[in-house]
Amino acid sequence: MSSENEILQKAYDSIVAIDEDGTAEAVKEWIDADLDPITLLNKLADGMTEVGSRFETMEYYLPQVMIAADIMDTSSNALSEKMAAAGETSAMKGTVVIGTIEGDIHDLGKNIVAGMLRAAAFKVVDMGRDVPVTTLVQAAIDNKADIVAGSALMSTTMPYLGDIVKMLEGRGVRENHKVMVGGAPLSQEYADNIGADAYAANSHQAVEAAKKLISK
Amino acid sequence: MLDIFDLYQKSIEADKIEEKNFDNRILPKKLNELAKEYDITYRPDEIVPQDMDMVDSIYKAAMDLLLDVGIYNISTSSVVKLEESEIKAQLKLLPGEKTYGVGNEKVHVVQREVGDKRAPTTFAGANGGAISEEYYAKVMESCAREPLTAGIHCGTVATLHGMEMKARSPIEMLGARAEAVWTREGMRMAGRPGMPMVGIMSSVTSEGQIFGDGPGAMRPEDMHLLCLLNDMKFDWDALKKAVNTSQNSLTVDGCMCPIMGGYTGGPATTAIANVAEGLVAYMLFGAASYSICPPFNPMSGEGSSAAPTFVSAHTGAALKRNTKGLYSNYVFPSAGMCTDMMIDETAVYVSAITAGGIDILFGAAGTCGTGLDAYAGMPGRITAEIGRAAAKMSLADMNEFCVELEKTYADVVKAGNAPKGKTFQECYDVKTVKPSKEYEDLWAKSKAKFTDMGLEFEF
Repeated sequence: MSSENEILQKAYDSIVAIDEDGTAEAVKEWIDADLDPITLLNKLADGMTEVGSRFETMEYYLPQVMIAADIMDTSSNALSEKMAAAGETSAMKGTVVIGTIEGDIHDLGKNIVAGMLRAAAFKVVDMGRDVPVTTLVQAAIDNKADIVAGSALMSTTMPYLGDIVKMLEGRGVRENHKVMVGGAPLSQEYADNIGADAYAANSHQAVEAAKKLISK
Repeated sequence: MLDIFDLYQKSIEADKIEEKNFDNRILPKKLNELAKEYDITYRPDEIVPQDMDMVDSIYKAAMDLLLDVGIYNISTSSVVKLEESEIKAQLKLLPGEKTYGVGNEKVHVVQREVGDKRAPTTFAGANGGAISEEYYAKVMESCAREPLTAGIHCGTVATLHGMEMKARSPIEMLGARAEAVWTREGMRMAGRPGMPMVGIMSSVTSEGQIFGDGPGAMRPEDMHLLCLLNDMKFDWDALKKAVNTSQNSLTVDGCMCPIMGGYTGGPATTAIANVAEGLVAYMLFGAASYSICPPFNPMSGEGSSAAPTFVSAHTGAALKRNTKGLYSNYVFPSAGMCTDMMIDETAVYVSAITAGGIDILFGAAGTCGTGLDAYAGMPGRITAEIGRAAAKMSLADMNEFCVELEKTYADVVKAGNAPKGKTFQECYDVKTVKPSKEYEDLWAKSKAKFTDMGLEFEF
């Protein structure tokens, strides 16, 4: 039987190597050994951070980030029952509802941000592309999201990002949800003008901004 | 052009595939296998195509990719597969030449080859970048006033009557029309009303784009942009645009905007995917030409360093050596106008793709097309002059020039710290529509530098 440290290392190495079977084995061994789930989740989160770093340096590409994020989700689910039984809370940093805004089907940048947020241990509810403002806001309310994140690649779709803020205000829930926006035609100035809480030019900045928003 | 009815039927009858599965597993897995099988690799010291065996391998791999993974229709969540005989028959129909524009400004583009000594054609313009409504026609006039530019690539109208352009709204349709009308007005004011334009950029929807055609706006002889989605995908909206252009006999350019490090992976695999998507663009849209942006880096946004330049140059070379398709490219430096760096980035990217056989250069548009009013005719002049000079150089010398010059700005663009430069109104006299002395002097200084590095300018 492997030692605690050996299982932790195996889990870390597997997720960094995008090895779905290897990570699943490590998680199973951990559960069978009745060890603290949070310790393993933290180690897996370290692995996801490494995956994110490798993406930033182009050693890894988007599919690897997305598959690693799927592995992380599967592992978290497997460990959640044990955590619930022990009365422990989720190790997730917070919930982000994310979508490429209405009229815009250019969702690759949003997918990268979603993958990197998942890599940074955020619970991400990805609403996809061409998401109506009403749908995005409703999802934020339904999921009790800490952050609503919207992306736009076109100057003709970015005005809808401002509507997120307006709709949250109109529904009286603005104080419950921070708003983060990004996309090629946007700028900090534009984000400020529409009343967003954060602007991110890329996925790295998005993760940092999300961490800051959560800590506020 | 592929039969729209067949595409429709195949799309609705094919098995459903989860898009996530196509993106994360099917496409990247096959791309990696093909790069390995054909030994296609990226070398930062060889951004201008030198190895024609590898160039042809990129084409073979692209054909294999298309046959194996097909094209994903996001509207039906299904994959359309094509037979090899069907693809080859379609590609045989490519004309290898095309005429754009009307009257005195009619321009006939004949396919260039890799290392062709004939200069590529230049369409100056904003490449879709946003322009304030009060300056829009003036910016277009500044492009039309450049004698070396044969056409204009439209920008996006930032506002209309002070109102933001919103996709799917009536304003979007009016903005599309305004974009074309004001571009034509700029051409008229420069005395070149028959010039071809490339659009529409102010609208993303099919109804908006279609409304760019009309009296005083886009003509059938203008280049109607039909965009594929990234990563071997299309949707009904793209096909609706194709129905419009085919049923109304409109000139088409099939375009695509790749991302480095996305679902198509790194430089080698992105080059394979770009070529495969070029084949799709020719067939799906009945396009004589295919244009791409440089594959932008998702972290820094840049598309002018060695890796994206390698991809664009090799994509062109592979298509040129194996099809009769025309190939155009968006020149998107990170730095803005009136900076040394924007000129250096333009020189590297334009030289490499010219050596790779490019037919039409779009731009240049600084700030990667993200700045407001960051476009004018002067970058078109610079692009055209570099294209003419680069065509005279050997592939080996061009590579040496590009590799050496790229090193001078690579770190800055990769860090996302390129200078924003000046706006149209800051580096042009808006009344006379002439560039500032500062800008002209800057170009003269850069030309002298490039001459020392081996480029021979005609002007």
